[in-house]
Amino acid sequence: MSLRRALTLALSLATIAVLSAAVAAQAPDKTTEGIVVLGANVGGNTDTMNRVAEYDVARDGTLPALGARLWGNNGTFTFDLLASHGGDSRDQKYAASISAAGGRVKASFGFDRFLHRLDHDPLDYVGGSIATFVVHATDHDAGSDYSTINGMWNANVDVAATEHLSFFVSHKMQMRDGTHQAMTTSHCANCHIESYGRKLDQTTQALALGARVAAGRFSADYTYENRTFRDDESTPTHVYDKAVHPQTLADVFLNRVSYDQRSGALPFDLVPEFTKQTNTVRAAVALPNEGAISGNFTRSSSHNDNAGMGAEFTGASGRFTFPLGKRAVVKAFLRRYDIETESVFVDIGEAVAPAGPAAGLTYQQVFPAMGDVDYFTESTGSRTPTEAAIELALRPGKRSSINLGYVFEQVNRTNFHVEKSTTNLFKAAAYFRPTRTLSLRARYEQAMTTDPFANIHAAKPAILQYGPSPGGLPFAGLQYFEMYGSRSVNFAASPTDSLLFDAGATWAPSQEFSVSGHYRVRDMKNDALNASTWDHTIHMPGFEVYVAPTDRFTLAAGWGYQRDTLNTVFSTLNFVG
Amino acid sequence: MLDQSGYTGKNQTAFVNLQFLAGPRAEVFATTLYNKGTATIEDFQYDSSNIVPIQAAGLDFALMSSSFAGFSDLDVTTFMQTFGVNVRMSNSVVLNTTLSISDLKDNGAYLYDATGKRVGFAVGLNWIF
Repeated sequence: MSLRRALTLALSLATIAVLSAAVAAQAPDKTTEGIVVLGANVGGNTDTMNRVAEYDVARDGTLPALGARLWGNNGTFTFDLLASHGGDSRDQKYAASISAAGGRVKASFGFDRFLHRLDHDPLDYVGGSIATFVVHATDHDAGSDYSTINGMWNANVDVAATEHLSFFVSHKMQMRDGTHQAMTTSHCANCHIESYGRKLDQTTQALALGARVAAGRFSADYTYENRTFRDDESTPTHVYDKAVHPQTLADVFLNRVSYDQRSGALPFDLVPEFTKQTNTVRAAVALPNEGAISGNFTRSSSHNDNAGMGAEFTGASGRFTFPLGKRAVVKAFLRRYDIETESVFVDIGEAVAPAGPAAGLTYQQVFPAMGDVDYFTESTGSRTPTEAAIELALRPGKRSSINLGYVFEQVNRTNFHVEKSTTNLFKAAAYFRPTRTLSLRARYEQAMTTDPFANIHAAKPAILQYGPSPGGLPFAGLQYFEMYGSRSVNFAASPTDSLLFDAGATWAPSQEFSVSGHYRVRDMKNDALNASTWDHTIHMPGFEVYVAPTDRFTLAAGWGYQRDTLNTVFSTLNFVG
Repeated sequence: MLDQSGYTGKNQTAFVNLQFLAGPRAEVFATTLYNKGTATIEDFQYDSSNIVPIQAAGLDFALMSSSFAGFSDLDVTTFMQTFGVNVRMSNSVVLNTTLSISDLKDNGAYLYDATGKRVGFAVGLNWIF
């Protein structure tokens, strides 16, 4: 058991003391209360801890455990301090909350450090060969355990300058140090997967500051945030295998790849560094009779510092709540945002074949019909979604409620085969308590989508030229550069029709006994594909029981089940090798 | 090569929590958690009839046909048991003890066998002031 859990248990027994302390912390009298924990964790491990203790130190042996929590009031400010150390530097937690000047200055700080064990694929199942056709793998760091040490820091300060104006600033930092598995593959001559231990020293920081005004029924705030990601470890490099003809092993294949052994050490598993600035303005007005209207506008700019590309986000949303008497409320929501990503120029390394029929020529020179091999790549992330929703909430009686809603969503894309996807969603929910001991609830949603996100012409190309081409250059028959363009089958993992039904019931004849049951089913399908069907169905039944036969004994039990069925087309290119 | 196939995942979880106040100063508790998850590709079989002879004899088809059906074939069982006693030794001192067993069985090892078991005992002396 971790120190954190031990502390939680201690606090559960000291609930009354804590509540008393919380009340005392608001009082002007000077008070200091708390808990100090001294303990130990003893453990014995069998086999790997990668799954059974993925986020715990779980050392085989004994570790001390120390912890303390102090709360109180020193006459000037109230405080709540927490510290725990699990006897290992990878298991620490600290937190502090301070309130001063009658609550006009509030500050909170926290730091949490924990271990995350990572997989190490041994690659020992990779291997096969027929004559010179070979698939194999090399693990250059076999047997090593991979993990990261994660540190999470956050600090928040909120200062009320006047009754109507306050300023706030926050700093969040996530640090990840350790080693993970990095893999890369050499192609041609053979498929050779190679694995290395890749060190990580990654830091994500977010600094935000802003101001908030509130006067009467009106409130508004502005926030500026700057977020950065850096990896201070060097990117690993790899010398790829020499590209040769897979059957004859003749050195004639270099112009079919962009790089090989002759390119020297090349970087791989590069984690791009980025920066992002976000500006957000929000405003809200409280209307009479619990009505409200609110809106926000966000604009952000992110930049991939390695690729030299960026993305712009501009979005706005509004929410409206309007009561219709005492038994009905109308809610409306509208959101529209635009994501625009910069194009990236892909400059293909065009090598020259050292020998063979294409000696001295690049692949493009052998097949002029393929045109320029360099290109601009556009992101499918560029899109403009629009969402509009309206909901009617009714309360026909004290023991019942009915919600009816409609959601419209349209996504426009500028750089993708599916230029526009439109979804109409209808939903209804009801709650009913026919007696004091029985409550029932149900929810139903049905969505219809026209042209959902799909990969058009994703699979089943025409058959590649599989034998030696007669005659000279260019080779006859379908070549690699023509193969992808000849694909004819569409794939999708998004539905044209989606249905959700969720129902539950709770029977609680007394405070000492209750039983609940629930069932949720989601059924999705896409029947607009040209050569297959896609469907995905999820069933989730479950129940919970609570029994307290005496005031000294309680029992809670439950069961949950999920069955997830996906039907789709599996497709793989089959090469000669 | 194409094949219309399925992928089915099943997961079930059951738990029992017990709490017993053994006296004015002692609490006994126990938690049992059981989880079993399976997943598998179903009805997968690449059809070799659309493969030209030289390709069917190549390495790709043999490898894919024999190995793809076993991809993501998962079968994991997790059992977790805790048993503990909290004793209020005085108004300001509480003793916590917990025995915990975590047992994960990887019945269909994928990439590597993730089977692991940990037995732990934690003791803590709390001074409340």
